Order: sequence, then C-alpha cells, then structure tokens
Amino acid sequence: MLGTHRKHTLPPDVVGIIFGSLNARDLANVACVCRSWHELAKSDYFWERLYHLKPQWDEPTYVNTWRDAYKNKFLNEKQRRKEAGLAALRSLNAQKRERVYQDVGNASYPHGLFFMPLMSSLIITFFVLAPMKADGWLDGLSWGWVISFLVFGLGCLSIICTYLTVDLARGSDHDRLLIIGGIFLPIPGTLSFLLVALRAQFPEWVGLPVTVCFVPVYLHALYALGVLLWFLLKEGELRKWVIVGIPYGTVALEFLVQPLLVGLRCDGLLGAASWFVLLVPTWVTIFGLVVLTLYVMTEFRRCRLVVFVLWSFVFWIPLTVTAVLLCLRLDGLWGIRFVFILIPPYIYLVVLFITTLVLFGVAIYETNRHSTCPRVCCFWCYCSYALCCHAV
Amino acid sequence: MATPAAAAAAPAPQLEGDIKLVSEDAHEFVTPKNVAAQCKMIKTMLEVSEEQEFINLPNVKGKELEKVIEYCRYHVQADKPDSGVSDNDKKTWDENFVKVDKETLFNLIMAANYLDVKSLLDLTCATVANMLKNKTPEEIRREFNIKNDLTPEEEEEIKRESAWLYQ
Repeated sequence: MLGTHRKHTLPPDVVGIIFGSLNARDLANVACVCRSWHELAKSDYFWERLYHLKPQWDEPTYVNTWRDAYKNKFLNEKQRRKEAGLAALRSLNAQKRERVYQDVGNASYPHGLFFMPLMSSLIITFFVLAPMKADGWLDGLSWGWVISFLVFGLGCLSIICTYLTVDLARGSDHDRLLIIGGIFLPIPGTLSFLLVALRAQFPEWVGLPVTVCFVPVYLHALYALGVLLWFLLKEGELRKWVIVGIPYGTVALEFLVQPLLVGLRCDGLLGAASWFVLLVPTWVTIFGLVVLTLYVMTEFRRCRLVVFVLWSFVFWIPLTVTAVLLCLRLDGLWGIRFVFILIPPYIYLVVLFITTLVLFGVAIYETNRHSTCPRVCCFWCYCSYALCCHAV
Repeated sequence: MATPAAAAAAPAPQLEGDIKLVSEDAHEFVTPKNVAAQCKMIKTMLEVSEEQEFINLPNVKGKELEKVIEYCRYHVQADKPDSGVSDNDKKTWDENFVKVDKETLFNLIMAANYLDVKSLLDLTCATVANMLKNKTPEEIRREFNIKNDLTPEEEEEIKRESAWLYQ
C-alpha cells in the first residue's frame, strides 16, 4: 500500500506523522525498510520527540543531535537498570544466605540449650554408667542411683532452658506440634525413669510392674498422637500426611507401643519373646525417620545444611546399629558387652556435641525449632534399651 | 471573523445550507456546509466565496469522499454538547471506521491530507503506525509490499548504527 502501485505517493509529511507515533525501536526498524524511509527516519525531529517523551530525562545541556542525546540517556538508563538489577540480585542472594545461616542458627539455639544438659546426662547415665552396671562393673552402685543420677536433674534443667527460649504463641502449628511432641517429652520420660529407678532401688516399697511405670509416657504419646492427627486433619494435604504424618506418627506410635511391649516383656508377661520381634515399633520408627531424612535432604539440598542434616536427621543410623546389636545380645545370639553395643550412638552423640557447640557458638539467633521431636524420641529409645539391659 | 466565543454560540452564517461536493470520478455529494467545513480546505474555499454551489475535488475519488463525509457527519453530530455520545463511543466508532483494507486506508490518508481533516489524518496515520509496530524490516516490507532498494551493505550499516537499541 505504501509502496506498491503508487510508489512514493504518500507525501513525506504524512509518512512523518506515521513515524511520529513510533517508538525508538520501531523507528530503527522502519529505517531499514527502504531508502526513502531511511532518509525520513533519520530526521532528528523524531528523536527530539522521543527524547521529550521521557519525563525522567532532564534537558540536555548540549545537543549535537537528539539521536545522540537519546542514545546517551538510553544507554545510561540501561546501565543503571542493569546495576540496580544486579544489586537487587546480590542483596537477594545475601538474604538467602542469611536465611540459611539463620535456619541453622534458629534450629541450633534452642536445641543447644535443650540438648546440652540432657545429652550430657544421657551420655553419662545411659551410655557409660548403665552399660557398665549391666556388665557387672559397678556392682556397688544401685540401679536407682544410676538411672536417676543425672537424668532427673539435668533433664529438668534442659526442659526449663527450652521452655524459657521457646515462644509457643509465635510459632506455626507445625512448630507447636514439634514442641509439644518433643520438648515436653522429658517430663513424662523422666517421671517414668524415676519410677523405674525407685522400683529398682526400693523393690519392697515401689512394687509397680515396669508396664505401669511407663504410664506417663503412654499418656504423652497418646497426647502427641492426638495433636498430630488434629494437625493433619486441619491441613488435609497429602504432602503433609507423608512428610509429617509418617515420621512423627510412627515416632508417637512407637512411644506408645514400644514401652508397653518392653514393660510387658520385663514383667514376664510375654515369656521369652524374641527382642527382634519385640522391637518392631522401633523398626517402623526408623523407617519413618529415614523418610524424614530423605525429605529434609531433598528440601534443603541447595543449602549448606550438611551439618544440620547430620545433626538432626540421621541419628537413626547409630540407632539402628545399636538396636540390632542389642537384640543380638538380648536374644543371646552374640555375647557382646553392653558398653560396646552403645558405641555407635556414643560416637554420634560426640559428633553432635561438637557440632552443637560450634553452631551454638556461631549462631545465636531467634528461637525456632524444627526437629526436637525425633531426636528426643531417639534418646527415649536409648533410654528404653538401657532399661531393657537393666531388666535382663 | 467572529470571536471564538461568538462562533461557539452561533455557527457562522455562511455555513448554513448545503453544498455539492464533486469527486474526481464525478460523483456528487450534497452535504450540509457545516459538515463539509470539517475539511479545512473546503472551509477555506467556502469562506472565500459564499455563493458557489459546488466544489470540485479533483484529487479525491467518490469512494473515499463518501467515507470522509461519513466521518465528518458523525463527528459534527457527536461533538455537539447535547449529543450524549461519550468519548469512549467515539473511540469505538473511529476504530470501526478505519477497519478497511489497506488500499482504502491509503486512499483515505491521501484524501484526509488533501482535504486537510487533521483528526482523520491522525486517526489513519496512527492506524498505519500500529501496523508497523513490533515488526522487523522484512515483515514490514512483506506487509506493505515495499521493495528493498538498499544494498546489503547499506542495510548492514543502518542496522549497526542502531544496534545499541537492541543490546
């Protein structure tokens, strides 16, 4: 139409009107179409108009051609935008890094407070004193003294520390669930220990069966199961059922079933059942923990959270080794000493202890807690094994 | 001439009655003078000589002249303060008005340019400009059937000059 049978019949001023409503890129494009358009589009008139269409560009002090003035401003602006974009990206990356540090820090801070005293007491009590006693090296020491020795005092201290640092009102439902499931476990746990200890120390006064001694733990497990169910029903997402329901559900179930089975066995009500069979709830729990670990590793694989994962989510490895060794010993298949049975978790706990110290020292941030529950349950497992040792 | 205020209050007396417009191909259109006067060129002629009964328009064909008169008639009506036509309605009408084939659009531009109807010229030019937007030179050539008379070297040079726009 513009150049066919009536070539060049559109007068230049008309083409000028047309070009006058094009932007810089379109103007550059039409300049490439043919010679006459190029001549027209070259006109500085269009560039002056385009320049003044940008209210943010101040009047140039010196104008060689408006095209050059436009070009300068355009490139400057582009550069500035690029720099601003880069700066925004940098700050975003920094924020992301900061968040990762904070995640680790958040998680390590209450955990540090919580686990330092508890871990110390558990390590000393169950991984040193109890097996030594079971192996007959501490005959002068009564079981009650051994068990209630540090657990009670330091366990309570850790509860107090955590309670002071954790803000139940501020956390998400997920956090609250973990807190209820995890942090308060030492209360029923310690109560049960105390009962068992008293029973062992003063059999004539506290003649309770072991099964009954674990009642506080059953109650806590039921409570935790209820809270978990409430949470899952409220969320209603399949994903939550898998990543929260499987690990925490199995853990809570184990709290309920495992002490019951161990108690019944100790009380002689299950005869000489194999410990391998007896520990089925523990095996199920370990499966749940494996799921949790895999999930955490896929979720956080881009973060530098190796330590975090090691620290929080892979305790099932030593747990499994010890559980297997323990069963071998208790079923009489291998006469390994109790002291050696507990070496894997002992090593693991030392690693944890060191990383906790480091993280705790490096990052003191706001409180947050992610993984208290499974770790507490692992300690609970250790404790129940120690109790099994005692019973046997 | 009347002051602008007076002109708005009562149309100038010479714009009453009809005028016959004759196209290049001898089509005759009897048009109210106030409609025809939307074309500045006709308005000037009417002002020069009030008595003439027809105006020859040797550069406009009947088809386009009809369109131009249609445009002017609508806008005279719609621009009246009591017409009740909103700006949006006018915009829609204009958009539909320029939905024509390229040949007609081209001739309409020429007619608007010749008859000096600024708003119609702007409208038709903007329509063409929209057709040029976001197209490569090759696409534009194909669309408007334009022969590329630039040598490859020249074209390369032009492209290089504006490369900064595409970085």
